[in-house]
Amino acid sequence: MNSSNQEKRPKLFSYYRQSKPFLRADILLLAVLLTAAVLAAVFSYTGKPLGERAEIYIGGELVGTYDLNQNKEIVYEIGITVHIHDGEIAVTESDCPDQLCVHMGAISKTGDRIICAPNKFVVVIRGENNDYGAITGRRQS
Amino acid sequence: MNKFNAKMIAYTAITLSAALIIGVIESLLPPVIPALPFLRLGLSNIVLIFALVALGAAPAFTIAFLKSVLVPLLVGNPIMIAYSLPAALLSLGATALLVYTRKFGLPTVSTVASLVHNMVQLCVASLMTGTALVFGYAPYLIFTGTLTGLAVGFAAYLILRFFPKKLLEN
Repeated sequence: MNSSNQEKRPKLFSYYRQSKPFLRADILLLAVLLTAAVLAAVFSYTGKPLGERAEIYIGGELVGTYDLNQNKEIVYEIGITVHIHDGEIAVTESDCPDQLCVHMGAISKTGDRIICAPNKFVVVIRGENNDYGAITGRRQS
Repeated sequence: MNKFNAKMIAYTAITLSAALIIGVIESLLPPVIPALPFLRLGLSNIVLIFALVALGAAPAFTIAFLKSVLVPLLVGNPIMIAYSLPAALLSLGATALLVYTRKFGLPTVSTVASLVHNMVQLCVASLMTGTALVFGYAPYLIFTGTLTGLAVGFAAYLILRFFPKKLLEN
C-alpha cells in the first residue's frame, strides 16, 4: 500500500508538469461547463423588472410582506434592521460577524435577495405577477 | 519516501501556511462584485491543487481540513467553518477524482472543484436559513465560479510546471 503510493506520487507530479494545460477530454467537460456558465450569465444579467413587494423569511418562515413603495424601517429582535426606501430594500444593521447581508446593499429587482445565514434571515423581492404571488396571498389571508 | 517522514510533514506545514496566508488575505480584500460580497476568488485552491499533485492525497486533505478551520478562526468568523469545511473537503474530493484519472487538465479540474465548492456552500446556506431561496444565487455562482476556477487552475498548472523539482526530491 505504502510502496504503491510512493511510486505514484512523483509520477502524478511529473505527469502534470509535462502535460499541456488542456487535455483532449477537457473539450467535452469544458464545453458543458462553459455552456452552463454562459446560460447562467444570460440568466443573471438579463434585465429583471423592478419589484413590488419584499418578503421576509426568518428560519424558513414567511414573517412579513412589505410594499417597496412605502418607506419604512423594520427592526427584528434577532438583531437585524431593514430599511425600505424609494422602492429599494436593504439590511442596514446586523449583529452577524461577517456583515455580508449589510454589504450586499440595497436591492430592488424581482428575484433579488439578501441572505444573512447566521441569523437565518432572507429577503426576497417579488413582482406583482409571479408564481409566488398566489402562495403568499393565501398565507397572508 | 515515507509519507509521514519529517520532510513530508515540513512540506505539509509550509504548504498549509501558504494556504492560510492566502485565505486570510483573500478575506481582507474587498469583494470583487460589491453587490455579491460572498463571492471569493478561491485562490487557496491553487495551494490545494499543488498539494494534491505534488505532495499526495493525505497532505492535501490535511491542509484542506486545517485551512478550513483555521482561516475562519484567524479572521474572527467561526461560523464560516460550517461553510468552508464541507465545501473544501468535497471540492478537494472532486479534484482528487479528476486528477487521478489523468484525463483532464488542471484548469478544467479546478473549474469543477470551484462549482462543487459553491454548490456545497449553497446547500449549507439553505440548511442554515431553512429555505431553498438561497439557490437563487446559483446562476451567479456558476458563472463566476467557472471564470475563477479556470484562472485558479491555470495558476496551479503554472506553479507545478515551473516548481523546482529538486525541492521535492530526497
